[in-house]
Amino acid sequence: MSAEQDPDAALMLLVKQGDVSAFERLVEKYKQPVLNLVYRMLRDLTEAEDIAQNVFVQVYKSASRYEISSKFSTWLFTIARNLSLNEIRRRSRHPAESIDAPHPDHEDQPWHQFEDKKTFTPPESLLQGELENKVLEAIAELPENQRTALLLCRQGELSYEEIAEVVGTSLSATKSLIHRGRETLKQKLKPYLKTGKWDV
Amino acid sequence: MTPDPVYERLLQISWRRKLTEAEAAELQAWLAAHPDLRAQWADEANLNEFLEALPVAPVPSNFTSRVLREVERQEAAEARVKGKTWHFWNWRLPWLPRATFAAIVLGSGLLVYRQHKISQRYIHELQIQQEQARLAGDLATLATVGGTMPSEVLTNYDAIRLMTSVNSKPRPDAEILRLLE
Repeated sequence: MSAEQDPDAALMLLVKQGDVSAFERLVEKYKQPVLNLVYRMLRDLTEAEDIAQNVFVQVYKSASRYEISSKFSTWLFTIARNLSLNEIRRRSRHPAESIDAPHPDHEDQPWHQFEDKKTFTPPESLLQGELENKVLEAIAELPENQRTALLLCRQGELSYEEIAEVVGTSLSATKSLIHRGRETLKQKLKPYLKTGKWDV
Repeated sequence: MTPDPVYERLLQISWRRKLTEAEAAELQAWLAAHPDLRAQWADEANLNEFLEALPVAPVPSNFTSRVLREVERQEAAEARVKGKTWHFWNWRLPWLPRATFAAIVLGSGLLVYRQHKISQRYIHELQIQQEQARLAGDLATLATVGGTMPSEVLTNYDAIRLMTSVNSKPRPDAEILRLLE
């Protein structure tokens, strides 16, 4: 792998020399796929934004040690995966307080009360939203390595070999992870898959 | 997983992206020959559509500037911490770097001197051991020779020993020298 083969790696070498505009170009190019991956891993947009931001900060701070050993995007998504995993581990150690938890002084009332800002939504969108949630839920329930492999595969940014590098497994094991993840999704979404429609 | 290589290849392509027209035609031809796998392919295709239809996470319009601000903030914070640390040591213990250097030099010197003394002592002990071994060898030889030697050989031993102990150089014959003159 060389800078000629990977233009992003060439940009990263400029970042290494202190070129902030090269870094901006990389952020512009990858902010959407990185945020998508992190969001689909964590299912919390605010946290996903913070993590995605941190991914790029890490990239900038690691620039001085950057060596072209693989594609830039492989390295970037590996950082994104690691930071998402850290967040998942942090969550499991400190589970978030439930919004339905009762108020200590008024047990009949919830601790948090939020204004209902939901506006009227047409039924079709509601149904579509429901299936989106089902799909996202099913993805979230997959084991982490299957989920990451499947999401990276779907994003189409990386080849199977590069996905294998991010997930840290062999090529055949990666394909197997994707296959098993998809089989699980197919099982969970069976009623929807039969018609191929959102509105089941 | 179906082991057929054509199906497998097209399936793995479809996991990542939409099939091209040529690939779709190849698939249709393959499915025509394997109609039992049509339903399986349909499930795969529907799942692909579901995954494709998932909404993308909305990127805030100021995302890039937020990243750059955070980079600047963290760099400034790190520089402040480094500066503070140096300032603290420099202010509290200005002699510390020099003292550390002197201690290192002194320690190294002592270490080298100690090593030198140890090696000298070792060499000296080795020389003594070698000398002792040589003497022991001589004594052993003498004991062997002494045991087999006849006693007559040693009759004039004292006289010979005295001859070698005095100046053994022949003295000039003064009478002959005078005649030659």
